[in-house]
Amino acid sequence: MPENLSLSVENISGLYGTRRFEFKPGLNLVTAPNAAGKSSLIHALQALVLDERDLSTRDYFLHTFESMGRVELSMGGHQYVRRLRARDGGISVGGEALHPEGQKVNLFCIASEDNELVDRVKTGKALRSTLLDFSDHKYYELLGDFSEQQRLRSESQLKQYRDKQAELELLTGQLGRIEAELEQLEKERKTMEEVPLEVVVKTEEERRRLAQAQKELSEIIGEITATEGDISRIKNRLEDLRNQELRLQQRVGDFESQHPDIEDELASIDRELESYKNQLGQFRSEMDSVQARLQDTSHNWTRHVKYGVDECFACGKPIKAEDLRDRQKKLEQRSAELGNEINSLQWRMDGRQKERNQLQQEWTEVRSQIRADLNNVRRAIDVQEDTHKKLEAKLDGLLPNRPKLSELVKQLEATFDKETREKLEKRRQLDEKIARRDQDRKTKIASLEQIGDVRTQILQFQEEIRFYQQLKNLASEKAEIVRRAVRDMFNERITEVYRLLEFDKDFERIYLDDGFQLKIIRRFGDQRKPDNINTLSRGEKETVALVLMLAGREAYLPDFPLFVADETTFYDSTRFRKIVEYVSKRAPYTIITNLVAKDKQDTLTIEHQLALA
Amino acid sequence: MESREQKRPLPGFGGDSEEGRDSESARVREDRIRLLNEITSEGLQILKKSERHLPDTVERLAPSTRKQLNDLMQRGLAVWTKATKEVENARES
Repeated sequence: MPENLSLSVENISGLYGTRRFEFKPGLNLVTAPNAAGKSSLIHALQALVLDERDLSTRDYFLHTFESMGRVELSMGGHQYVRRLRARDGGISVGGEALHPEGQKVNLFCIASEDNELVDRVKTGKALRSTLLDFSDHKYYELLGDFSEQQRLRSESQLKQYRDKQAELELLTGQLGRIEAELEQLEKERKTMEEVPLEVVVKTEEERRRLAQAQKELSEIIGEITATEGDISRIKNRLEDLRNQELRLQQRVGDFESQHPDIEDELASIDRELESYKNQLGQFRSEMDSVQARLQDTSHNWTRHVKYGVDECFACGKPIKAEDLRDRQKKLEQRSAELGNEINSLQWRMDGRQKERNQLQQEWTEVRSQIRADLNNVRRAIDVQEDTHKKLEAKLDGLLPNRPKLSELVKQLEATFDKETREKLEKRRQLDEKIARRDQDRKTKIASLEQIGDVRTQILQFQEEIRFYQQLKNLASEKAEIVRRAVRDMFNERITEVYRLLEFDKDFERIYLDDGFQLKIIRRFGDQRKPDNINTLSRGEKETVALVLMLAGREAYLPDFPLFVADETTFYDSTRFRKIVEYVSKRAPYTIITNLVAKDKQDTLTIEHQLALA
Repeated sequence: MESREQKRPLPGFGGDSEEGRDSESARVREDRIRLLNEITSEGLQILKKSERHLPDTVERLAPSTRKQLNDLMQRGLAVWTKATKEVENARES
């Protein structure tokens, strides 16, 4: 005999303080007027099943004036406790959930206003992921995708081996052609006329001697040419140096012819400068004397003009004013003359001094720098001349060898057996060609061996591809079977209920199509017409959602004992009775809330039987 | 929700008419269908046990799940290949 479920709720949504509820097996009809706690009771049940992530944002699950809440359910001798605590605008959760897959339970077992399935039905959205993802369909699809990935990997490897196979075929073709050519060459070689061994030896010896003589001649010619080139370069260099020597000698000669006795020339200029200096001293001394006398005269003139004194202020001798004016004029004239003389003399002295400095500098340059350059050039000339002599000697040594070797080559060529040589040469060329082809053959064989036998690998990958393809096909087929089975199961349930509730008077069919989109076909007399799902009434939509949830519960959560439906007042009393009976037959504990008028009932009560309409 | 076991030949499999006439190959074919079904069922269980929230794509499967699936398929492939070789050997002899 199933036990009663005991639910304790503390500070959840509108339920303040601790409230206790008892649910019996079968129907539990929760009736109450508005704001009496029906939806809060649903929230308490949701708090028991939802995981922490889903609960964390539902701060309205806690009573507005409390920061902690608690829900406890006694079931099967086990206590499930959930503790909620307000935290940073959300909720933190403690305790054990009623079911490990709370999201699935919330979707298929609690028909509340925030149920995604109900919402999608109401808004006419496709239900593929909502209904199908909980089946094995998605598992099979993923398995098929995994097989497909493996197949693609094997395809890629197969392609690599097929490329190798193509390369192998190419190499095999090339090897065939090489072997055919080799066979032909070897046949040709066998048919060649044989030359006696002693002739071969003799010819080989002649050929070797001729080749040696030609080589030596070539080397001698090369050496002579190189030496001649060196001599030519040395000559050019010597010419340059000699020209340079001539230019330097010319410059020294020019200076020495212009200044045959440079020491005397410089001494003469020095003497001239000394004379200028003495003369300048005399002029300056006289200038000082004239200036002093002019000052005295000027003073006496002032005494005469200002004070009428006509005697010298220095010696006291009488002086005439006319004499005084005359003397002053003469002295001023002499002072001007002396100034001119001094300037002129100074200018001449400066010019002469500059000439002397220039001469001295030029002389120093000729004496030291040019002579040093000249010495360097002369030494370089000596070195180059020495090298030139050595090269000439070397050339003299080499030149006689050339005619000797040329003569030897001519002699050897004259005695050479050309016919035999040509035969041997042809044979040698053929041997070389055969050796080259044989090497090609070995290279191709090595390449073929390196690639190895790809046939086994190709067969292996072909098998793998076949295997993965079959596996993918099977998984896809199973996924499709599951998809169809899920859709058919839901459609069967919808049909069952709309007949039960006598919706079939207006609808030929309400069903999920291949894409899990709800469709309707309306009925009007004998006419049938597809219509938009949004034209269904709220009650019809809620019924479809409820049926889909019940079917989903049976399919995906067959052992979960509770089914909860919030607010079912949109049904008329007959249909309400039918749907409640239908639901309560399909879950061990069915909890359905229903609104009643406040004047009939002012508190929340739980009934276990449907009142007669 | 489990799918029904498939007993009929898989699409694209057993199309070889020579093989179809060969009773030995028919047995191999049945073995292979059984093998594929076993791998599919075991793969399903691996996914159910390993993935709490099933991802949308294979790339998002946990590495451990991928490894388990890979091992499973390698085992299946080994059986498959062995059967092929046996058939080939039987034909050659």
